[in-house]
Amino acid sequence: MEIWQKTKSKLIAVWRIITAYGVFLALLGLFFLKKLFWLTKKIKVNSDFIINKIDRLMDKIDGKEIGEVSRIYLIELAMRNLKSKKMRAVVTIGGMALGVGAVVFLVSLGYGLERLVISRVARLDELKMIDVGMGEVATSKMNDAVMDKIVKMEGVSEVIPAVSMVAKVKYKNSVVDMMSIGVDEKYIKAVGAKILTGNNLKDKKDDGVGIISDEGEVAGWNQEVVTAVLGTLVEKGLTAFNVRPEKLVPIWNECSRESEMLGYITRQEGGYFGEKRWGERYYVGDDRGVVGQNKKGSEQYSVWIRTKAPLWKEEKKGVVVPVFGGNSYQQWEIGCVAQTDVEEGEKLKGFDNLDDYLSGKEEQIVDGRILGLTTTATASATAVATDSAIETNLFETVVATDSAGVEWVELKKTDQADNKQKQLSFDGLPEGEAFISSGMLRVFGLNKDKVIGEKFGVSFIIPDGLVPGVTGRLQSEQTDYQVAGVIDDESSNYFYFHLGDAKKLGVRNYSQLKVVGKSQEVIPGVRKEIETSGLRTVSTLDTVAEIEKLFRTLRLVLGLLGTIALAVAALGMFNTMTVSLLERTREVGVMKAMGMLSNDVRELFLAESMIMGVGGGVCGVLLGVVGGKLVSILLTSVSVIKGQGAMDISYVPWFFVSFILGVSFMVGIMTGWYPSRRARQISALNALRYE
Amino acid sequence: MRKSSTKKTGKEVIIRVRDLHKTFKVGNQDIEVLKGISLEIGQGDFAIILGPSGCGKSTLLHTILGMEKPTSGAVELGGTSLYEMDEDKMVSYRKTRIGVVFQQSIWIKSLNVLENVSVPSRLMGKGRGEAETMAMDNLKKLGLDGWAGYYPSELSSGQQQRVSLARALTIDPIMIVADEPTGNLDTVSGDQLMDLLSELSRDQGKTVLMVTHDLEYLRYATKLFHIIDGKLVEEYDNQGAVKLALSLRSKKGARSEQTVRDADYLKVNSSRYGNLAENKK
Repeated sequence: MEIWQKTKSKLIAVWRIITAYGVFLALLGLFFLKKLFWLTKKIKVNSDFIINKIDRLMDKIDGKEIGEVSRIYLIELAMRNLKSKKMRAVVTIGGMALGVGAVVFLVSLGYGLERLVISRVARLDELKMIDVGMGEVATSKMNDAVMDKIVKMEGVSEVIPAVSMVAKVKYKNSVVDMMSIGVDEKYIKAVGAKILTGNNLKDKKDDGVGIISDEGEVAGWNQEVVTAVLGTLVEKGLTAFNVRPEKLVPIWNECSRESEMLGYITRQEGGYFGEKRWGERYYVGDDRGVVGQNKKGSEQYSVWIRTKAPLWKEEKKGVVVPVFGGNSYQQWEIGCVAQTDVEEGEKLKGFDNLDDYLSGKEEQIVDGRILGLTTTATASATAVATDSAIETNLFETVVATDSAGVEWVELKKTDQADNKQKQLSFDGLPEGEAFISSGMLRVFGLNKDKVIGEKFGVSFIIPDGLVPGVTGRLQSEQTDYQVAGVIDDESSNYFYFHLGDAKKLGVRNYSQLKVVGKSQEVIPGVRKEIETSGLRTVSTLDTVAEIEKLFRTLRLVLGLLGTIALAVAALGMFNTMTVSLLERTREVGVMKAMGMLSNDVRELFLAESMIMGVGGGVCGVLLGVVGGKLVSILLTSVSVIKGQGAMDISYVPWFFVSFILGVSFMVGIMTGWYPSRRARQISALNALRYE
Repeated sequence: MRKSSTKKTGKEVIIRVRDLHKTFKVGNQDIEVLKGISLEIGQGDFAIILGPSGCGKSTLLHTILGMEKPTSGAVELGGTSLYEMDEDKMVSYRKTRIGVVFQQSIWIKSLNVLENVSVPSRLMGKGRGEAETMAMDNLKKLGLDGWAGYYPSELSSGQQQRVSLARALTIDPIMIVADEPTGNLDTVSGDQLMDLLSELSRDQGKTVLMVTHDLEYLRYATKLFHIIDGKLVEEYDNQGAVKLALSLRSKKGARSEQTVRDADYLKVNSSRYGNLAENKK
């Protein structure tokens, strides 16, 4: 209890001291402000009004009671004392200024060099970006749903997708493999690509995702918007459907891509039956398919087909094996597939919906089609498909052999026509626009002023995984691209094309997402969150963080060197204060005899050292900044002569300025502490004693 | 006895000292400087404490000013017991009521005459304008207004002491305490200062308490306390003071012409204070 009382009274004392210094500092600031306005008066500016205002404010802040010494008077006295020993004050403040200036100069070099290096490494807005790529886990694809999820994360302002593919570029009888990136307007802005000639890349109205058309039997739908309720049947009755040859169609637990993906279904003889339900909207393009929307029109739905089907999984790239249930039979599950992923057949009459169908006729169906399968399956199956089989004839021969040597054979009839890379065709693509890098320009030996409008043939090679449900690489048919602009980039050969073109090829997963954060600070958190979903992230911030770490050490060393100078200056100030105290012993005595309180005397001496400290600090900051800029100008003049750009190697952030001013204020207090305490103890009798 | 005599004159007691003891410790030795001094000074008195060096008169003065805590005994100023107040209260009591003139003028060297004179009122929280007008008034009264803009170090010591008096007067004190104010002055300057002080006590009713060992100035006293070896040996009125001065002087033998003239002057002066002395009877 007693201890508490003691600490409480101590805390109150400390608080009083702090507020006293705060008041003092405020008054000091106002005092100098007033002096400034006095100066303006000299050049005939009428600033009486402001001076009066300041005076009144000072009185208010001072808050001393009637009959007590005002702090303003103490500050005035302190200023007079400093003025009367001008030389000494100037030298002391100059010493402080040199010390502070040394710190500021050295640290500003540290900051400036860091900024210089970072600016060479990364643009400023790049620091707010994260590049997201596909991770080690093959299942984490980047599609619109993932994009949606990332956009909703806290601190993310936008997500910009891009698709990168190798393009076989045919120009005047030569064929060259080149990098091509499908982008939209925002991407160009985000990477800061400079367009030398030609137009800017403008987003076109996206004309939708194409359908993979080996067989070409999928006709375009006209998009139709109907009122719908999520989860209800689109129409009564069952529809027969089947997976297109050599396709894997993902099947989801619910009619949404955000639900659990159960596995894949493959083409099977006899096909499947399923009911159509409204589910999560997926991208089908603007003018095809049926889109449902709720009454308000605020949400849209797409058609899904709910069915019961045997599951497959992709064990390795290109190797598809059945999913086994607990009883060693291939697992059957009820799930949803997107309508656009499959081809539809006739309607099956007699059943209202899937449940109806399953409860009534399940056995019969199983008997009819799957018997052979279930009888031959045993406990463990091993994949034996070879790499060479992956691209070409995955489905046509043996898929897997179990331990008993029973082969898993795909039941469907194989497509013999094309054993090479699967061909994709653009779906109604007009001539595409390409924005080529100046490096690519050089490869073709073209002039950037004459290149606009040049045409070249492009055939895209789509990497595995970009088109959902398809394994292996795909190659598009050749189409013509027209050069619409040239991008300033000598170092590499590539061209940009519209992201919509890729979508027309069926690409729904992106190869890269650029996540733009609202500020640099949110980036680490967002990265972590993205990485938990199995995606890989890269950020320039990594490099920058390394650089910052290095420079932090450098700054520390530089700051330490400067601190030595500052310490010397502080000692000088301490000495000045002590000498001045000794000289003024009798003066202090007479002031006390005239009724100055001990605390007032202490404040007087503290005021002097604070003025010197802050004065030195302000001068020092100016000195340091000017010094840094001078060095920068010197270096710039050298580097300009050598043909390089301007170099500003000094930079002082505001927080450092306020920090160093705070430090000099503290130095002022600390060096004044001892002398002012001694001044406090001087007795009024000193004035009465004879010398 | 003394108490009743002051009551007779109808004067208010400004300073009352009761049985004051002060012992200093020097090394292992205790030196008793004040050995039970009691005295009273009324309003408008010109009181002089006389005594040889080392008799304790300065210590007595310091104690009255509240700067030296007595070992025992009490000091009352205007009815308030000085050493029952805390330090800060004592200081503010002093700064509003007592003007002090020191043997040597001590200045805040960075301030000029006017600013130095206005220091006490500024310490009381008065604004610059008000304080300096008051200071100027006081300087005018002492005929020093021409020197207001100079620095004190540029003035002669006589002038400095007068400025010092002006400084003591700025707060309009009820009492002026002077510690050998003429100690560093020649006779002319000393006389000037003494005249000023006596005028203040006579015309403005200020109580003056002064320490000196200069016999020349005893004639100004309306009350004289003779202290020897820490004890009050005798208390005199003005006539007693003049007599004491003469007797002490005759002990010292023949003096210079100047002193002789002073002696004549004394006689004239003593008649001036005659009424007062009669009143006391």
